[in-house]
Amino acid sequence: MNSSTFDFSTPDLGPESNKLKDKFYPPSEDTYLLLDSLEKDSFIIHKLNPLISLEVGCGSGIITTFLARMLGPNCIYFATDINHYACLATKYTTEYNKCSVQIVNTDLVSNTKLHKFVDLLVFNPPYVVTSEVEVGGCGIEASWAGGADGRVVTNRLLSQIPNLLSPTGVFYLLLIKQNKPEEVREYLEGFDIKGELVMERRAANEHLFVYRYQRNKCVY
Amino acid sequence: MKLITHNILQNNMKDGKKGYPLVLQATKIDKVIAEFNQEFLLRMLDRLEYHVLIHALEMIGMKDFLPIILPENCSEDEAFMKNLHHALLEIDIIEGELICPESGRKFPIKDGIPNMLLTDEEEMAVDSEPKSK
Ligand SMILES: C[S@@+](CC[C@H](N)C(=O)[O-])C[C@H]1O[C@@H](n2cnc3c(N)ncnc32)[C@H](O)[C@@H]1O
Repeated sequence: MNSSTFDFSTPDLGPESNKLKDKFYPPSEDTYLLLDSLEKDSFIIHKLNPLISLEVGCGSGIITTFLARMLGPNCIYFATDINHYACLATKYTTEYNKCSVQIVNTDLVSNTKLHKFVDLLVFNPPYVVTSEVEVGGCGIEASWAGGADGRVVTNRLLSQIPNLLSPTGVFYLLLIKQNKPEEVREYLEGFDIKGELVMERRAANEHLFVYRYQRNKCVY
Repeated sequence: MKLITHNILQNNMKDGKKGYPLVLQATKIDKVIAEFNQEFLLRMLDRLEYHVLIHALEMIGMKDFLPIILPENCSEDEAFMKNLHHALLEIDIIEGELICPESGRKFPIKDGIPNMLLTDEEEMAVDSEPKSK
């Protein structure tokens, strides 16, 4: 397939999602860097031919919508968020864009059975360095509050990555400089999962990175 | 919530019990139209707990919809593939409850979205347990 046949346009959220404005994380610089990274990697992702896609912390639903447009109906799209309004926004956004997405209101992947299941995993986490007490809510503050090093929520997902990824699974993660990306890379390296930088960008006062992680044994 | 999602939801319990499959009680069901894709369905069959799908259909009163045992050569069975597609992707549970078969714990489904979070009370009960970490 020629990459010019893919739809890479930035999805609109639509009127219903916009009514919930201020209750979920609006698409921001970090969101757009992830979209650009997925577009940049579209050839790799297509070649992996994912069957099961999962976005953790789907927020507005824009990234999952983008993926569903890019990969079409050969794949099933799961999306989770701890914030009920983000789940609703994702429902409205995906419906508005005529994409079928399976939404679950949960903490990361709690109470799911996705062991070695996930072919494509995407997470734009709450990455801002904050005090511990700000972490753990289910409202809009969960969009950014990342605790120590802005890594508290991310770390909980990282420890599950070896269990979640299918043999050829690929994981895209957004990090900022304060999250110590090198430490994350080394941590996953310990599970034989290698990380590579896909894109980086300076936006306002943030230095954003998107990494791709894959099992070393994965050949594609 | 589509039945494909029911297939991957579980009450992850600490005591090693399965918490799977969850009992499904539906009070509002919609039918939607999804694009049929044979290749997707065939690949999905490999990862699906077929008997759990059958169980889910039974629990919402659509028992005779699919054969209890997965037919051989199902890829050539057009009627079966169409029904499988419908069962997985076109039955939408809008309101209802998922119930853990072992603990009886309930997870509400509202606006078509299952809520698998602990309630505040449950959270407190968990916090007062000794942490295994
Ligand atoms: C930075 S926002 C990203 C939102 C969206 N994916 C985007 O890129 O625009 C982080 C999202 O993660 C969600 N989130 C935070 N903690 C979570 C957790 N423990 N489990 C699931 N989602 C969580 C937030 O509610 C928020 O929607």
